[in-house]
Amino acid sequence: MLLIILTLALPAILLPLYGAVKKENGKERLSAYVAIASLLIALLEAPFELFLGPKGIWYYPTSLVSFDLISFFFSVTIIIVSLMAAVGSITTMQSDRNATVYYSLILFTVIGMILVSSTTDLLFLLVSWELMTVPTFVLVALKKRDRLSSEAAMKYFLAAALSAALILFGLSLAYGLTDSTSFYSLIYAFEHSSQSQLPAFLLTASLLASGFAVKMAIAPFHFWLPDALQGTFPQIGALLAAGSKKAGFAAALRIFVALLTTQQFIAFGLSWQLALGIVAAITITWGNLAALTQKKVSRMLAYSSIAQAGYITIGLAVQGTAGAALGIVGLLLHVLFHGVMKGSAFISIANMDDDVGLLNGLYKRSPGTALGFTISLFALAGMPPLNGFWSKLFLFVAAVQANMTWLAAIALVNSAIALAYYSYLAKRVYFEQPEQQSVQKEEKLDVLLVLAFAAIFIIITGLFPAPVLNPILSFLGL
Amino acid sequence: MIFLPAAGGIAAYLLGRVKEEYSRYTAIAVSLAEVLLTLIAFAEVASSGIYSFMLQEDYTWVKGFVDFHLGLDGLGAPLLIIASSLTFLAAYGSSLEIQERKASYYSLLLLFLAASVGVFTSLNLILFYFFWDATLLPMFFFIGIWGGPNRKYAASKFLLFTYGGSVAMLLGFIILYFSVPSPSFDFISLMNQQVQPSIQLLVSLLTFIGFGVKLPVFPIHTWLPDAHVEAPTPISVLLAGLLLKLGGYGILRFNLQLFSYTAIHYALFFMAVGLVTMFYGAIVALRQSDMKRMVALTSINHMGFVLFGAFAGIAVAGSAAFGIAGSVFQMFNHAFAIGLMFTLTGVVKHTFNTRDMTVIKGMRFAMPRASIILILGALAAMAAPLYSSFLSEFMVIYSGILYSSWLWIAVLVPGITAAYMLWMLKRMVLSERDPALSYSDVSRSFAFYMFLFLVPLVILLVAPGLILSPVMTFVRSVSGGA
Repeated sequence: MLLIILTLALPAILLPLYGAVKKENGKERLSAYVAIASLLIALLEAPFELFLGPKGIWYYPTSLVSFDLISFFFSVTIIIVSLMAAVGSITTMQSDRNATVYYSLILFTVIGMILVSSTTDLLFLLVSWELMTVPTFVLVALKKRDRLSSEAAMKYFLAAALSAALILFGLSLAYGLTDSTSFYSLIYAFEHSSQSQLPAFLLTASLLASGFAVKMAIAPFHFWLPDALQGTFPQIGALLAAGSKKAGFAAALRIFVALLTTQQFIAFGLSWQLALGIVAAITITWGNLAALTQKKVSRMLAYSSIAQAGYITIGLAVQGTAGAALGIVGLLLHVLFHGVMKGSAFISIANMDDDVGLLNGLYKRSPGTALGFTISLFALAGMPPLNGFWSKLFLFVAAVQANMTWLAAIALVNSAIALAYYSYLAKRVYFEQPEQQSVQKEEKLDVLLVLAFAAIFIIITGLFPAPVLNPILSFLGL
Repeated sequence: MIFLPAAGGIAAYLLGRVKEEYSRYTAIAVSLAEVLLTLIAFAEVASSGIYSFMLQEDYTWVKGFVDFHLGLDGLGAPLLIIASSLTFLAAYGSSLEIQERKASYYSLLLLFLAASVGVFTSLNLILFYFFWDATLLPMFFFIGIWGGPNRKYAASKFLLFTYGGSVAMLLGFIILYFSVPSPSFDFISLMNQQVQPSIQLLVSLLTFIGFGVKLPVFPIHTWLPDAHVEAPTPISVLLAGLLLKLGGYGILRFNLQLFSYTAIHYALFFMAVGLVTMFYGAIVALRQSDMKRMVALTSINHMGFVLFGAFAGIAVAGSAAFGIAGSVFQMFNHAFAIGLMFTLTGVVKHTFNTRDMTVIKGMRFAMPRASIILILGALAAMAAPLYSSFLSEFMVIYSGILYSSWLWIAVLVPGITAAYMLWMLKRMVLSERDPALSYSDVSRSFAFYMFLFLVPLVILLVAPGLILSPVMTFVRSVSGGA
């Protein structure tokens, strides 16, 4: 754990210093390479951390962090997505004065996300949460002369502040109830609470849940996402949509699953699975229907990622039922797979116009981008033989196993709706003739590299999901 | 067998980047090799004489959940031959229409073949679904990139209709998984387990939506005329000859074999849908002026026979040998007959620059060779006793009459088909010479190529046992030895 953090923190701290001291050109590229190298090293370190750490999924030591399977999966996802974002912005950032700061901020937010996904203490969660969020404010606002960018940053800032405030409020209540801030003592206290304390516990849980939900962009807390993603660099959009949104799920998975499956809570008789299932169904449907009418690729992808968050929520909704194990499998798989495909879909915007109308005939201008973009789109739709099929399959199977066939049916119908707008984009890219006004954009090599990696990853894990699946299955004892 | 075309698809693309024509040669060579492979596999299934899944291969794909389980029986084997030989014929006949982006085209062609072979051989429901949906994307691009003027609309409509059906099917599979005593996606294991009748009915209906869209059945057929009309000729051949067979295969494999309780008790429902589809296809085809649209609707009409025959066969003891065998046979015959008709439509469009049957006159003067083939092909499509298509339609209708004597009305369908086919011949071929037309016949080799479509139909009229003997093992196993 410490090793990964140090690998990322040192360059994160040193890069801005270097940028301040060094004046001549060339520092932009160098800082990109340093950031990429440190992310790669961190990626290699992750499996070692996993095998050195405690075995099993749920582990609540008294320490502040625990690097278990959940944190491993989320960390790997986050590192891969941020690698894609970092590699994809080499060309975009090569003449930007702020490049050193840009990469340093990416590294900081990655550290924050990794800590969020592995912390077991509420106070530490809040600190990591801010570490994850604050750098992204700056990143979203980096194009400071652009009005859309400023608006996006403002909206994002307000939404994030709301989310942090909710978490903080929940945290204070939890401390008042348990005299401690660790997850473990919260769950322990909850299990042994008296009937009169229950409302306070419920309030704590719902405050925390709402705080996470803002970040996860689950309906009805999703409004900030499309605006924020439209205004910023596509690479940062990728980082937000594919990476930091996921951190909310890690935190939710860690606290709520244990909290809500305690005897006390079951005795309370709230069917929270049903509630979460309804939230998931609304989120999926809302996201997909809204995406249908969008005119900007980034907004369409933002709404699609709201819908995808709904799919991941299915994995939470089946906890405490027969489908729990498969739900976790589907959730973790979808987090990783969706991270890669949404990341590559977003980053390909850097090589084309954001306007849906100007996508016409993209394959003639930029064949590589067109191919990578289309593969990510069909993966997002869950079409075999691409990897999105597997993660969705596990989530659907889990929903049926949990006796929520209606939820699986709604989710499946939504897959068909989602295919309508994904194939609409693919149709523009491949079938339509290019229009006069669409400008010739040069294909950036670094973006192509990212897309090629994503396409290979999507196809290989689509054909052979076992290498990714087997570790999860064996950890779950399946 | 799946691996060969899949690898060939990648090779075709890479070679095509070097020189465009190479990809075509690769596609022809690989599909010809696949024809031989499928013939060998077919011979092995046919010579065994008993019903079982032959040539099984089983690999763990996702531990304890989905196995890569393949096998071949008397139902899959004939369809496999259709898949490989039609792809071969389509690849060979593509040179006329496919002029741009050949590398992508031929590689998608082979990938489509790989996915279809996968569908006909998978013995795992998830694997089946995997291949099933993998056929959609190549077809989407075939229609959308190389299609006619309205291709974008047709491609999207095709994709959304069929994918909508697929998700219903997937939901059915998942429900089935949890409603058997020991949850499994494996076909053989599911065959040996009991399911509650009500759940079986639900699952059967859900999967029927999925297969019915592809077959297609009335009223979820509306994507088909658009897709066929807009698709380039070789792809129309594949759409009608192969893609529709996927639907027919699914219905026989799942709705008939796996959900046999529902099949027996609700046969009338499926038969009614089949009968409506038959009449709908025939009557609507009667009033088309676009030749390709007419041929496309003929497909709907013929696929109605498949549905009708299969369920008439299972509903009446003793008629399975006619009904079910007839419907498999019908699929086989239809693939070649309709493939030829689509090829001819392509020739007509290429020569006259229109497909309007009311405009084209005096084909026999301008294109004597093509006219002869057209007459022969039309006879095959209307099931004249010159070809095996006569046998299969006869078998299906006979089993219908065994079910209930008033189902003789099904005879009207080939009657109507004959009517519009002959009308087409009268208008296009046997009409007066059009002075504006100059002599522009197809080449001798292309005429020979088209003739290849008819060869299996003639052989099978004389010796239907070649196909029917392995099919009968399937029929006996489904109908309990009748």
